[in-house]
Amino acid sequence: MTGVHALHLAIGVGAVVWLAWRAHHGAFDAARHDAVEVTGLYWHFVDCVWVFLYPLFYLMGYGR
Amino acid sequence: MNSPAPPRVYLWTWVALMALLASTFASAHFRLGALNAIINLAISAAKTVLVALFFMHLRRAGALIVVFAIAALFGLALLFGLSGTDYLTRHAIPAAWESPATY
Repeated sequence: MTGVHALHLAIGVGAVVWLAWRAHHGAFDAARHDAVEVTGLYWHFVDCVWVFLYPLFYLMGYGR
Repeated sequence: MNSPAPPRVYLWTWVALMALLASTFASAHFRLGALNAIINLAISAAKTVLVALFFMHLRRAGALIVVFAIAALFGLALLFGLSGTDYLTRHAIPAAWESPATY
């Protein structure tokens, strides 16, 4: 599951780099930024997954 | 979508998430038995609520979007729950095809 999460993360980093490249070329403005919104939602979904995986895999049993 | 929240909202959300991360890490140093798991999952739930409300803009979203988001998080909880029950009970109730006693 950590590996699948790494795959999610790699896709997310790729999407954010792509967004940065598009933004650098002025592709987004106040009216047109759906790609930014959707990529943000995807990124925070991956975020939420790790919020649960981290304590479940790496913290439980840590003090034993 | 409504006008975006000011940057300080995101900064403070991030600070709160980091504080919760520190507290979940600190709580792992105490041997509390089952309470460790409960504390960890409660902190994770709080972090998810913060991320959903502020980073995913649910605080300013309409009711339909909120319902869909809760359904999505519920689906994620189902996946974690089903994987977790298998993971936690595999040694107690081995699958029929499993080779014995590697635990």
